[in-house]
Amino acid sequence: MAARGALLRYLRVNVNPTIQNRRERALPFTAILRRFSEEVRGSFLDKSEVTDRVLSVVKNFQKVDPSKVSPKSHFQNDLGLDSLDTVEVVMALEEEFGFEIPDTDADKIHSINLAVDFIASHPQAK
Amino acid sequence: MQRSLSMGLTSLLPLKLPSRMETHLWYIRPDEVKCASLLKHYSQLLSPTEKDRVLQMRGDELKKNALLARTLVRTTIARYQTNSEVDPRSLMFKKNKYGKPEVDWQNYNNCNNPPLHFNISHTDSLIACGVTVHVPVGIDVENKERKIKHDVLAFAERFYSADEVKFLSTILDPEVQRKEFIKLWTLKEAYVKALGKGFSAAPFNTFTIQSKVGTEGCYNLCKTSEMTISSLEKTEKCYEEWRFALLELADSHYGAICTEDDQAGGGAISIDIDTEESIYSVISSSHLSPSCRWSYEGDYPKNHPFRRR
Repeated sequence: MAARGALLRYLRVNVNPTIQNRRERALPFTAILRRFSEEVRGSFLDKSEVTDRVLSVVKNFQKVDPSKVSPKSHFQNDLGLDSLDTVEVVMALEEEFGFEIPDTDADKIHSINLAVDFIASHPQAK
Repeated sequence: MQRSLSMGLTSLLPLKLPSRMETHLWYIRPDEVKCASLLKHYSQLLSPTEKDRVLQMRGDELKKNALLARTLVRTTIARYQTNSEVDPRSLMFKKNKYGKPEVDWQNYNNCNNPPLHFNISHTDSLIACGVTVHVPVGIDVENKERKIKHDVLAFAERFYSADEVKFLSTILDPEVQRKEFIKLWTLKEAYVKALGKGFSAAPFNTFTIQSKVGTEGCYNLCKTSEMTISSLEKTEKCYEEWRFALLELADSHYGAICTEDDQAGGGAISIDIDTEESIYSVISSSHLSPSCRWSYEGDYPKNHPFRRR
């Protein structure tokens, strides 16, 4: 699933109107390179894919009852996780998505929904 | 026969306030509270909002623990009112601007209110409430046997300070290392909770808590700061105004206490262990149904505060 996503991202072809194409031909090489990297930076993961992956990370926690886990689950109120558990969830999400979640943001991730929203809006998530 | 709650309240045993240098720690073990009618009594002490929040928790255990936590806070604080009896139901709470809960004294005559601070901590097997006067307090409890999903050093490297990682990595026995990791967790949490500004105000990797040499259970807080002038040397500044203590509760849990020593008195902290007993019921057992009373009085210990001076 992740490989498919990665492959699609690599193969993504931009469709530009012809006017822009003409302008591009006139641009120096470095400017074209800069535009290409902006596109890479702007690629975000698909939200439903993020949801699936976040759900499976949380369900993998021994303390968690997988049957109680849903996209709306609140870590503390629904799943009975405490602060140490929540930090472990954040760490597991960092490992799954390959980027570090800053403390100020991690502090606000109290539910699956919030985790999904954060990760799906983070271009560094893999 | 329906027992009136007011009868139950007259048996709330009053408590003497902690002194400025004391923290009182009260705890309860949810698995020791089995009586359904007692739990029902307790639920009548909660505010409507609290009751809703308890009901929103999913699963009976989570509901029970949430109920017991609010009961512990309300009854404990009510017992410290020295002038007149305070109905635990009438206590109001608010949150500071960072979300830390505090008592809201607005309905009471100001001069009679002790400047009480409190903080609670829950694990699924123990709920604790710490109380101080004049100074903020932070409490954290953890089961001693608690295992974490990640490797201890990997977790510490991600979240703890460099000095703490160094300390943990010198411990060769994995079980001892895990225990020290958990102790550090409780101490660090207690500090952040005492500060009351949220996890992100004091990221765990920006401060070190270390054992005070030659003491048992006494700790120091040090923060690293970078000198921005010429050398990029990191200097350690130790903060005497935050005091820590680490205790073992009920043989099963670590409990960390952090308070602000506003007078920066320094000096050694002595931990005086009286008898460790939990607060069971502040409603006299005579108000329970006979069948409940039997099973209950069998395990009923006396209330006793756990003091740290």
